[in-house]
Amino acid sequence: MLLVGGASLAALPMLATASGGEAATPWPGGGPPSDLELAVLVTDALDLFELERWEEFRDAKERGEDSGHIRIYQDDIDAGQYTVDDLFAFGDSVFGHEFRDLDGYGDDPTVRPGQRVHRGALGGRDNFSCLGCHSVGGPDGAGAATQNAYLFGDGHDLDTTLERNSPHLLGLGMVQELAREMTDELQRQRASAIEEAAERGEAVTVELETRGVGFGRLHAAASGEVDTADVEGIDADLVVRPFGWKGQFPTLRRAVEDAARVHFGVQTSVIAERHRDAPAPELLGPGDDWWDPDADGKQRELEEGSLTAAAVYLATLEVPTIVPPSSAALRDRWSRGDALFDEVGCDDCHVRTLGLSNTVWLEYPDTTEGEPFAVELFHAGEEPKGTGQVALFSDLKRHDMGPSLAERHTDTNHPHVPAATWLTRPLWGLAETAPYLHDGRAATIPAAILAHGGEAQDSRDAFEALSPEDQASLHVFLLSLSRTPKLRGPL
Amino acid sequence: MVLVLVAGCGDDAPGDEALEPSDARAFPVFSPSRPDSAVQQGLEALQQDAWRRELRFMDAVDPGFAFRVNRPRYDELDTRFSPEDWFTMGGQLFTMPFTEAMGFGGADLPPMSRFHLRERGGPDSRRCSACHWRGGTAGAGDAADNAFFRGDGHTESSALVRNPPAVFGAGWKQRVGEDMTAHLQTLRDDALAFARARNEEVRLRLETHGVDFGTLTITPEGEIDDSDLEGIDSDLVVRPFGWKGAFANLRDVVEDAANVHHGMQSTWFAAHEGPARVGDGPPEDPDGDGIEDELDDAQIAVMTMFAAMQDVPVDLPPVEPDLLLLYSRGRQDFTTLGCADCHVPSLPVEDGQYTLPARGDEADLSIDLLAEGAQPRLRPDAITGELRVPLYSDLKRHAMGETLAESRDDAGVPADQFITAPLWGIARSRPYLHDGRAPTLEDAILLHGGEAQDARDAFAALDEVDRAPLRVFLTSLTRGERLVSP
Repeated sequence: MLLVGGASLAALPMLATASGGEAATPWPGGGPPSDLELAVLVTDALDLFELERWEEFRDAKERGEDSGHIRIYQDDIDAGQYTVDDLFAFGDSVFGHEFRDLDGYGDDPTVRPGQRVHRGALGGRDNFSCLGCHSVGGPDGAGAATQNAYLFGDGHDLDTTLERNSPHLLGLGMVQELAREMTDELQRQRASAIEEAAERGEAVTVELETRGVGFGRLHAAASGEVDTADVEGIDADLVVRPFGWKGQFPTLRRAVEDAARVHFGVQTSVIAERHRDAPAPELLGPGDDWWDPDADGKQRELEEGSLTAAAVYLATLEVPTIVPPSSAALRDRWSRGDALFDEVGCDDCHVRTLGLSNTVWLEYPDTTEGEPFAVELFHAGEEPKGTGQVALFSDLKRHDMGPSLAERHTDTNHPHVPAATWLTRPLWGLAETAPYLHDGRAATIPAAILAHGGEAQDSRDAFEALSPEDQASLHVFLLSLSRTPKLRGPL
Repeated sequence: MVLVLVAGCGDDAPGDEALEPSDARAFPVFSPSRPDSAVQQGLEALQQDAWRRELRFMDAVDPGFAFRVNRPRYDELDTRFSPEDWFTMGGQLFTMPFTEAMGFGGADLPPMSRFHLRERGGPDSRRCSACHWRGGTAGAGDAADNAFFRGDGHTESSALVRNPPAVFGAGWKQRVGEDMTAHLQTLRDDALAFARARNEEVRLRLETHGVDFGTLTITPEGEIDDSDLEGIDSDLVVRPFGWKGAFANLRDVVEDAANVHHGMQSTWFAAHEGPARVGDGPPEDPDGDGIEDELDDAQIAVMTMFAAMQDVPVDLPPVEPDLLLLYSRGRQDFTTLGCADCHVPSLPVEDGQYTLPARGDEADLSIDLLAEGAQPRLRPDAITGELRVPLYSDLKRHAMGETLAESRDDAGVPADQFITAPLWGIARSRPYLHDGRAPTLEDAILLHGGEAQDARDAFAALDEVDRAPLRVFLTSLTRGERLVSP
């Protein structure tokens, strides 16, 4: 049981000074918060706590008040009735809302809620609120292993499903805009290739590249046809889809819409209208009435405006930060680990920063002709905010991760993405999101690194070849990818 | 300096070992005390968060560090460490992701399995706090956190679905159960003696704390007919823990949960449970993962104490006048509608002495929950001095009807029977009912049946406006406010 070796203890001088009486608090950044900082944190936490209690009581007083509160009409947003703060608050309410029968929860009010093994693409009934599976590490965080979703199964057997752990939801507005800009750039490269091929009357091959990330090659024929066989890590339409473990969703709007559908059986009005034009009973249900595809007697289960509010909320949440250790010895470790991150080759895919050109995200409505709602990414919503160099530690590209990380089968909605292919998971906020990997199989960061394969095999092997000291230093660095300490009342 | 250990320490003769302090050290990550001022609370929460972060870094440099510092020797618990120390050590073990190196999982188990394989378990989770977080650490679980017990390891419908209950107030829950058990068993024993002495049949009404558990018939020969017992096992032990009343004390809960959810087998559990529960590996390592003493007696003790010392939920009425009026009415409705028949607002208890009895030759561990439990604590009535636990439960099993019945009986308890769920802290422990099927309090009330049918119907007969008071009252049953980070 007495396992401590002398060498590693030398790295922990802080404890030596702590012997005897009370040890000094190892404040990140060296010192305690100032009185003002503390007062602000306390006030924010108490305000939010009081607001949530007030909302609970209002809903207790008037059943459904809560549901009415999250019913936001897109027409009202289009008419300029709401500020970004309003939409943030509404979105927060949507996020914490317990969806229930009067919201159109599930697809059969007589069935006991709760179905963890999803029925094909139709989904299941996992939980009642978004918050329920995004709470690890704080509000809007990741999910615990128990909160894994079991997607695309047969409705009964765990062994038929795709098991996915809920990722954290911070900083996503920047990711969304970044993906849009990258998409733009790649599509411009495609357009120039087509143009050039037509001008020259011969096939042209272009190296697709944006923000220093290569996406393979695209061949444009003189006829204007494009061959995407050599395109890598992105769909043939060259749209960067940064959301979902396999990179399924281009925007928060689409990700929220899908999550509400598959986890709660709550169908947005947007989905219903889409269903009218292009019926998709395998996704939505066999209902005769296109307004109520899941045939539970509820129409417009989530308004388009509520979807907009949720998307704006998610786009303006806090941004993860790097919180290094306190003690000098650990900070030395941290610096060494910082360098090792590149030496080992982690940064080949987990690209530290991607540059953002624009500072405004435009949230377009789906079905109205309204103007997009403009979100100032560096001003709206929560603190802290990042910078234009988005420090997400990802290339937003899909990679083959080898057979041991492959899933049982492909995702029915994205069958072209192979079972072993995953989007480079952004590492910002990493330390607060255990367990790791798409199915939460890894309890620790080293375990997650060692589970890498495929295109990451070399880096994984390089990590394994490091001395225990260096492995520990890299681990220390990765544990600093965190979120800024905050206060809150009980969730 | 606690941590400087010379390699080779472990070679010391066993007799010397007791002189050396273990690696354990109580870092201030959790505290049972709650500063009165919000600013002080905030500062303390941030300090605790700073320690949490720094310890995590230290564990990276020295793998196993965080586990080791929370592994005191049993004999140190009441010599080197205080109840406050137990609380923070227990809290760290409660929130720590268990790893394979600590003994997570078993060689005979899949790496993870959301649906349990019979009595053997999952594992389904890395840490206790993954499923006990609603309403704060040691809170309840969300619907997604439901456990799927005693299934076939593969299919959802094979398992018994149970929502993780809140841990707050757990020590008091056990204490009330102990008092009730003691009283019931005394009644029985006295009746037995009486029947024998008088040589006549005795029919004994078993009532304690105002709760009626039916009758026992005792023959002059001392034979007991327990067929008219109600809502309790024939050993007359009140088992307040588990949705169906499976456990009488928190240590059993902790050890059982560690085994089925994490494949972390306590030394005692590994030695005393059969292969169906712990695996059929060698006696010291029944789950065959190469780790012995995955959680030792002292770790189980501090985890148990962390649970037992949890704060007592509070009744925190709204401040707005319109809501306050509804609250007052709802408080009365709770009784007149019949909710209080089973959800008994409070049960008396002798004292706050919580004891973890020794199982070997170690000493008992005791604390006074009134003085050492986490704040907010229970207080005796200011005038009468009486001590009552505001559980809103009778700690008795009741038949809840067809709708709530599970697919089969469980451990001898009929499929439709559940112990009255305590309602204290209920505003912080949604969703509701044993499988978390009810997202709101109203849904939960309306799903009651069986013995609760009348009370449910009385509520259902109210129109919307008249249902509001009860909902507002129940929303006031919450957990004491406390700032935390994260």
